[in-house]
Parts: sequence; C-alpha cells; structure tokens
Amino acid sequence: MSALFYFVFKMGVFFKFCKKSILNIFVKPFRLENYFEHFEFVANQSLSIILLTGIFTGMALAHQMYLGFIRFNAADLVGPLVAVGVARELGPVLTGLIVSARAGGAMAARLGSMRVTTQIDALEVMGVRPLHFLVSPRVLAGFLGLPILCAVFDLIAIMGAYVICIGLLSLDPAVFWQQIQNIFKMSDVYEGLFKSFIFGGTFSLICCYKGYFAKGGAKGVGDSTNLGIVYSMVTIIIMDFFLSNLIKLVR
Amino acid sequence: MSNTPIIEAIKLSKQFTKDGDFVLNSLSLSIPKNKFTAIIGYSGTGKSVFLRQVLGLDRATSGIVRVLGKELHNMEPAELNAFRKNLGVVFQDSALFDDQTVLENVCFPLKEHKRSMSEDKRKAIGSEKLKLSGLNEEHFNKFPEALSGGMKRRVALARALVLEPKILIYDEPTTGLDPVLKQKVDELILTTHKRRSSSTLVVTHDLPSALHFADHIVMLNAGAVLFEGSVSEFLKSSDNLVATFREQGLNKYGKN
Ligand SMILES: Nc1ncnc2c1ncn2[C@@H]1O[C@H](COP(=O)(O)OP(=O)(O)OP(=O)(O)O)[C@@H](O)[C@H]1O
Ligand SMILES: [Mg+2]
Repeated sequence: MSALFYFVFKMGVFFKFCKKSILNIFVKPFRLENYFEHFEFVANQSLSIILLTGIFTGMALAHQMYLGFIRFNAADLVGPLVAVGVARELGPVLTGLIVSARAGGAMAARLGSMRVTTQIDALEVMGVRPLHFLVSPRVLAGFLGLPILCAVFDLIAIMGAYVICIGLLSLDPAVFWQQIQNIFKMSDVYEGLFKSFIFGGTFSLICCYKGYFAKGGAKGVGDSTNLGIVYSMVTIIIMDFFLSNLIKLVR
Repeated sequence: MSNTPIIEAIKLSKQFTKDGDFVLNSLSLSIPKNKFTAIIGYSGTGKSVFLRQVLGLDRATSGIVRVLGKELHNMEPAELNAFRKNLGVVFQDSALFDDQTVLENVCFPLKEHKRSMSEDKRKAIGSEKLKLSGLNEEHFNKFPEALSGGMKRRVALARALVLEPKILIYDEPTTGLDPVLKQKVDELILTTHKRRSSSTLVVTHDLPSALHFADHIVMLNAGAVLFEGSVSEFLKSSDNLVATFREQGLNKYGKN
C-alpha cells in the first residue's frame, strides 16, 4: 500500500515537473543561442545515425514483405506497405528509441552531473531559474527535433525499400511509385509526426527529470542516466500502442 | 536601519523526514551587518543545512529566516531572482560551470542580470574581478577541469563578486586544499572582505582560520546555537563544549 502511495506521489512530482518545464518554454528571457544549441544537439547530431538506421530498416522491411507477398503475387504492394508501416509505426518508435538513448542519455548525464557538483544550486543562487535555463530548452529541442528526424527516417526508409525492390528484386520502378501514390496517404505521415512530437517531449522530460533530481555522486548520475533511458524507451513503446488507438478513435 | 542584522533566524527547525531527527533544532541567531562572521561547529551539526535555508535552496520545517530583512520564501519568483543579486556564494566544490571557460563563468551572472550591458564591458569587469582574485590572464580561456582546486576557488570567488553582492558567503572555502594553498585562499578571503567593507559569512570547521579572520563567531551544535559573540568572548568562554572544540581545533594544527 505504501509502495503504491509512493508511486502516485512520485508521479505527481514528475507531472508537476513536466508542467513547469513546458510552461517555462514560453517565459522570458529567451536565450536563443541556448535553444539553438540544444536543438542542434538533438536533431543535427542524430542525423547520421537516423540515416543509417533508416535505410537499413527500409531495406530489411522491404525484403521481408517481398518474401511474404510474392506468395500471393502481390509484390507490387511492398512499396506502399513499407511506406505506411514506417510512417505510422516504425518511424516514430525507432527514432524515439534511438534518440532517447543518444540524446536523452546525454541530457540525464549532463543534468545529473550538474546536480551532484552543485552547479544547479549555483545557478539558482545566482538568480537564474535552473528549470528555465537547463530543462526547458532541452524539452523544446525534444519536441521539435524528433518529428524532423522522424520525417528524415521515413524518407530514407522508403528509399531503402526502393533500392531493394528495384535493385535486388527487379520490380518495376514506375509501378513502385504508382502503388505508393495509390495507397499511401499524407495522413499516415501526419499521424507518425504527431506521435514523434509526443515521444520527443516524453523522452526529454523523463531524462531531464531523472538527471535533474540525481543524487549520490557519480554512481547516482550513472543510475539516473540508465533509468532515464530505460523509462523513456518503455514509455515510448507503451504510449505508441495507446496513441495509435487514440488516433484511430479520433479519426 | 543600520543595525538590522543581514541574516536573522528565528526558531528555525528542519526535519528531513516526518519522524526523523531535527537537524536544525529551534535555531535562532542574527548576523551583524558589515562584519566578518564565521559559523563553526563539528561536522554534521547542520551548518550546510542552515546555509541552504539562508540561500533559499531548501525550506525549513518551521521558523523564519530573514535575509536583509526579507523572507525569501514569501517572495515572487521574479522578485527572488532579482533579490539574489545581493548574495554572492562560493560553494564548497566551487561549482563552476564546466562547459564554460573561466572568463565565461565569471561573466555569466552579468550576462543574466545585466542583459543590456555590452559584451566588452562584461569581459572587462570579469577580467578585473579575476585579477583581484589573483588569477592572471593566461588562465582566462581555460576550462575549469584544467585548473587546480585553489584556482577554482579563486574563479568561484571572482564569479561571486562580479555583481557586487551585499553579502559574500563561503561554504567550507578551504577544505581539501593543501596547507600552503589554504593559507593563500584564507588571505584572499580576508583581503577581499577588507577591500569591500561589506558583510562576509564563512561556514567552516577550520577553527584557526575562523579565529584569524572573523569579527563575530557563531558556533552551532546539534542544530542549535551554542555560542554567539566576538572572538575574544569565544576565547574566554567557559562553556564545556566550546572549550573542548577550541582546544581540539587549535591543537590539531599545532598552533595556540
Ligand atoms: N538531504 C538530506 N537528507 C537527510 N539528511 C540530511 C540531508 N542533508 C543533511 N542531512 C543531515 O543533516 C545533518 C547536518 O548536515 P550538514 O551537512 O548541515 O552538516 P555540516 O555541519 O555542514 O557538516 P560538515 O562540517 O561536515 O559540512 C547530518 O546529520 C546529515 O546527515
Ligand atoms: Mg557542510
């Protein structure tokens, strides 16, 4: 019973932290170079890993689908189905997981080490709100950076599928694009981008929270980084299921 | 007005858990203006916890603490942030921002509080404070990780001074330094105090240093004030605990 109470209490603390961090995004002073720096870190510095994983995901998926669909003589459908699957599910979820590990881990570690070396206290006694200065720009970078990465991932995964279908499996390129145009809709992309917007906020809030309240020296920083990444990943996968259903309901 | 204490605590108590011990136990004290005050006491008597109350980093379970006549916890966030310009703090482990160079660290409070000031002006002020703290220009563009512990404290002092605070606060300024550096930092603290002729507060368990520079001594024990008065009163005090601490503290360093 007390464990349940503790959990509810902690969730309350976490959601208060989320609310404050998000509201602080809109509070002056706006330190533009600070916002830019974090955005660059989340988005630009994840680009190469997203390109790499994106193209291989598209290729692997296309190949598997082809092996299945050829049995029904439906190999033409590989292109659009890769596109739909990547745009709605794999794009947002995989970018979410990859960027949680990469950028989220760095956020938790950085904030955690600032906490245990009293740099956060120092900021506060200087009259600079640490949440506003440290957390809000990171959360904003998460919210905005992930949809962009997801779009890149979608695009490059479809390219990967194209390379496999045309280059390896010698399907007709004109048919490939024609089928994509027939079946694949922009709303699939929007659905994925909306999800990745939510995931971007999720991982940055969780990782910042874990780092911001780290305690117990270097070990504490390690633990909070680790937990930040794990919680982010699990939350993203669980949320994905509920978001998909929610979106279906709303439509 | 001139006699109002800079820091005043009234029956301040702090418990970290609901049925845990009182780390601060109805602590009342007042720290006089324009004096050099040292808060001393054994390890674990609540000195750092008290300091966190003064800085508004933590909230007491009960009681009042006033800084320059104001209760920090009753202030609006914006007002509090502006008020904090009055406090310059040198943390125990310096707490320099490790992603900024020495000069950037020192200019940071100016950047945040004087947004209209030109960058050149900020740098000029920052450099001046660094030089006053005994750091020469070759170190200005280094990152904190490349500095020794003593140099870090100098940078932290320069950063604390840059907004010309009314109260300068040090938490354990010389712990972890070798004797030679320790003496140098002690001297720097004293000359800085004399030059500025404003209030300084040092929290330390280093008695010889405290007696060397302080005008006013506060000794805490078990979360309450055991002694409060001038250095000569401290040396004369016949309280058992004070006498024991005095002997242990002085003998440890072979001085008398
Ligand atoms: N966050 C905390 N949670 C629980 N207990 C704490 C916390 N911070 C401090 N304490 C307890 O409060 C007591 C006083 O600690 P404090 O750090 O104020 O001692 P101190 O007088 O500064 O000692 P030192 O000279 O070693 O720095 C200690 O017993 C410590 O265990
Ligand atoms: Mg202490």
